[in-house]
Amino acid sequence: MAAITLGSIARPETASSPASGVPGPPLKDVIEIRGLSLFYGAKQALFDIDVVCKEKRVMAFIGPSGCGKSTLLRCLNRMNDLIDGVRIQGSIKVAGQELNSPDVDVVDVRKRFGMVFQKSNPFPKSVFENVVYGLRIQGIKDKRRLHEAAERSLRLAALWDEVKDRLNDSALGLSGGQMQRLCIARAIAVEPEILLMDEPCSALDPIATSKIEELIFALKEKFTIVIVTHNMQQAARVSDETAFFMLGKLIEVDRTDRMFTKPKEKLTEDYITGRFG
Amino acid sequence: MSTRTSVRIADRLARWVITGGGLLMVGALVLMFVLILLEAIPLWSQPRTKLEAETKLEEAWRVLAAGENEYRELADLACADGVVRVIDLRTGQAIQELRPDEAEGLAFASATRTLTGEYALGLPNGSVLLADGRFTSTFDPSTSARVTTYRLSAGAKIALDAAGRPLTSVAGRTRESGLAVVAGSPEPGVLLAATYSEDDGAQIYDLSEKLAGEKVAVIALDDRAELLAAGTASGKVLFFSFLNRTPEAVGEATLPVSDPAPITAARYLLGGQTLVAGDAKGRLVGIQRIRRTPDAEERVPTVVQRFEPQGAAITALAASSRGKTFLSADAEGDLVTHFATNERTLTKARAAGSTAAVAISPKADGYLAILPGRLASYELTAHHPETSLHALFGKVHYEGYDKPEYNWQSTGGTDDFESKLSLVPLVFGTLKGTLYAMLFAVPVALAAALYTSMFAHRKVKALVKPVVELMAALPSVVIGFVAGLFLSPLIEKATVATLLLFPAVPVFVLIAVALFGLVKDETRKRLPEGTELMLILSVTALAVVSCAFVGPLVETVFFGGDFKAWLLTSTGLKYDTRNSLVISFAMGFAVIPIIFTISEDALSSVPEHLKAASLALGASRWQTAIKVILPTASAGIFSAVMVGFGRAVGETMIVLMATGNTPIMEWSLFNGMRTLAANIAVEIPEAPHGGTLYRVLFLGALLLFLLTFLVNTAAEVMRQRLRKKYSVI
Ligand SMILES: Nc1ncnc2c1ncn2[C@@H]1O[C@H](COP(=O)(O)OP(=O)(O)OP(=O)(O)O)[C@@H](O)[C@H]1O
Ligand SMILES: [Mg+2]
Repeated sequence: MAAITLGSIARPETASSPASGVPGPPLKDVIEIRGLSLFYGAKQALFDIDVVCKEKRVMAFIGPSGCGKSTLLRCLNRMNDLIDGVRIQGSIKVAGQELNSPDVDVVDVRKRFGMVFQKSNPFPKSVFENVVYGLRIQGIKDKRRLHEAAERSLRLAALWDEVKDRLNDSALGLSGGQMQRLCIARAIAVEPEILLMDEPCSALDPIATSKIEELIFALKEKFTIVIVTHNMQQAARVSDETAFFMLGKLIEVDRTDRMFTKPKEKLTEDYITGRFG
Repeated sequence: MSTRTSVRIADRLARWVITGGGLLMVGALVLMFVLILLEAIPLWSQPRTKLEAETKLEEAWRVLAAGENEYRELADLACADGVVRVIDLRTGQAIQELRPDEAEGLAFASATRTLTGEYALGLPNGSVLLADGRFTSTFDPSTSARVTTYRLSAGAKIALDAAGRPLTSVAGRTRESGLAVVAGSPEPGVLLAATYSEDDGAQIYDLSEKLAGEKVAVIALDDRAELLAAGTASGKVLFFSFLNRTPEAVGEATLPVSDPAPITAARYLLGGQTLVAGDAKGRLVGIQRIRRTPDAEERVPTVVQRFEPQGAAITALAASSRGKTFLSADAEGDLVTHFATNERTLTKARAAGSTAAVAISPKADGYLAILPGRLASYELTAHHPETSLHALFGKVHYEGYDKPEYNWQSTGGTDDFESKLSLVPLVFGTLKGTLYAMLFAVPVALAAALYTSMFAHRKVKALVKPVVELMAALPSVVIGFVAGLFLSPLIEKATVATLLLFPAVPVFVLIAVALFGLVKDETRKRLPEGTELMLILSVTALAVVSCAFVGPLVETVFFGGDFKAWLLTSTGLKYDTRNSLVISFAMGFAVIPIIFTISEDALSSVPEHLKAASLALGASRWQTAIKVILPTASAGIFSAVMVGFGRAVGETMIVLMATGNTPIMEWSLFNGMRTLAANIAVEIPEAPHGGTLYRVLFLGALLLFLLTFLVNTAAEVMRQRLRKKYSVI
């Protein structure tokens, strides 16, 4: 372990080549994080991070607890703005546009992202109202449009069959897994470009987890996805690329298959094989 | 092992303490309720009457009029044989026999007695003799016995009928000024009246022509000897006024029945405003002279009360000198006591035979009836004749009013005052005060809570909350004092400016906010924390200052320079210095901290993850506040408003000091109110323990209790439903 110099980071260029063996046009960079550092007051939580996420790919953030995965995820849709005393250095570009530049409206930024939280957080409203919340926020009032969007997103979230008869019941009556899928449906109803998921399965049983994983596979057709997970198997199963963090530093980022078979860093290998963390 | 035991003991102890505390609370509440109830319940105690003594009377005496002394031991009777007798009520023995010299030994053809004991005696030669009878009781300290004496002092004697016919009916009394007014009728078609004073001598007036063919059956004169009522054989009552000495006909009233019968008895009640008349078919009404329209000059005699009818002709009536209680007796010997104001029948007693005369004792604790050959004396227990459900909650036609009204006026300047105990104006006042206070307090408090919980910077919040909570600790006496002594004169001086504040402050603030929105985000971010609060405060101050400047201008341009005068002339509303506007501010000041604190807590306790979910979906902070935070906190906000409501309903000192406490029923912002709570505070020191007012005040307290209880229960039910709907996992 002493051999590892924390300053050395894997170059993200490895990810710029096509992730799978399928030939095709090079994928666009949707999110480009360059030299990002973040401070909670005086305490630095992220150190000089460089990560690039490709269009319609799943990027997984892994790493031990407290290493800054959630923090980095929150940087992407500027949810860190809500926290007092947060200071950010470096650049985050979404589709080429700088996120933190002063002329960018934070509300517009957030509209491009869907976010699924670790703990499912449906509103105390009906199932239907939960799903269409984001649309209503955008001022859409047309009943038919709302209904179509609700059905579409609920189907996408593989929840439609379970809730189609209880759309007007309170969302709080759903099971934990259903609630989490409802939150996903809610996040994708606004048709964001990117879906951010912070440990979406941590509170779920294996069946619900596998449903959500299937869902991620399906969603990847339409969205770029960034997922935080503690579950190595899950990262291996669902993601195309994986970034490994430790103590606020990016240790390695690479294609998932490569990362899990022959990691470049010893730290990564230790972590993946469960020798610590 | 030992820890488990100690834990178990602590557990059990905690449970006992908590259960005990809870039970104690409930118990205290129930006890309070029961105590209040116990004080109020006697209001509904049924009045009782009981035959106390019955003695023989000599047939030959033929009693024409009767009275009783204060201690219900003696009675004075004017007998047809020309003697006024004082008899012992228990034995029927005559103790004193008085023959006024001025009667010249003549028999009495007729006699009436006033409440104070003055007799008008109609003589067989057409003259009327006034004679004032009076009981005086002294205590003999040596024997510690009561010595009662009766004195009859003759007053004016007026030869009323020039033709010298015996007077079959008579009425008369001496005014305090010494002027005597008498009236009498020697035969049904003739009505004579006279005034007499030492200086001017007697003036005789023949009112027969004004009868227009009516036949006089009975006559009655009021307490002040100003109004003469003559009941006729056709069932009418004609009124004559002696206000200008010369009697004038001032209208007539007919009993509202399809089959009129002769009036057989008429008597003015205490205060001389209500005449009770009974007819040959046992019907009884109360007649008052009222204005038919609000601005009419004339007062028209009108039947305003209808009492429970009796089975036979009313033969005698007696009024009480303690209130509006009266006794009606009929030809079959039914003796019924009534309370005039609320038309209530108090008691009924049955004594066989036609009643010739009746009298209520001076303390209204008994009455006597002269029956054929005997005298019956009854005990009367009617502690709260004034109250009835209708009198407390309905419209009542009070004396001196032109129509039935809700009215609260418990005490007056005179003994013959008719107490008006309607609780409706008080309930109205309570609701009015609460409504105006809430109209001001709820928006302010909720806006403040929303701002503090959702938008304010941590440091601002840390400052605002304790300051507002400190506001809640301010004693309401202080608020009331400041409002009554400083605020109300200030608002009176600057009414228009004050009213302008209501639109001006929000408009100013909105404009400022819009302008602030134009400032670039980056510039805004660089401003120190709390800038927006400072901005709003200064804009509000600016609004106040500009209103103070613009107010007088607006007053000159739109209200002719005097808002109060304008208000009175163009809307008919009076401006009271201590009015609802002052209450709205003062009580609002007391209520705002409560609503603010509770709703701020409710808003702040909405889980952060819901806020995050909404914001992450691209909602602005404002949208999040309205669509997620507010509904989720609605149960808490609702209870905040309800607790504030409860506080406003029960608030006493502020209302007491900052309003005129006038129990009026108008929604006007510019006059005051009297609330149930303030009413209790104002009147309980003056209310004799156990009296009607005392108990009615307790009834008011009960009402207040029930009002808050009802509101709180409804609020709790509502809150639970909201909570269920918006409960958060
Ligand atoms: N609001 C905050 N204020 C101050 N420090 C914070 C805040 N949130 C997180 N941190 C700190 O930042 C570091 C990274 O936290 P973060 O939540 O990003 O970790 P994580 O990788 O998501 O961990 P986990 O896997 O346990 O969720 C931690 O040291 C944490 O203590
Ligand atoms: Mg995390």
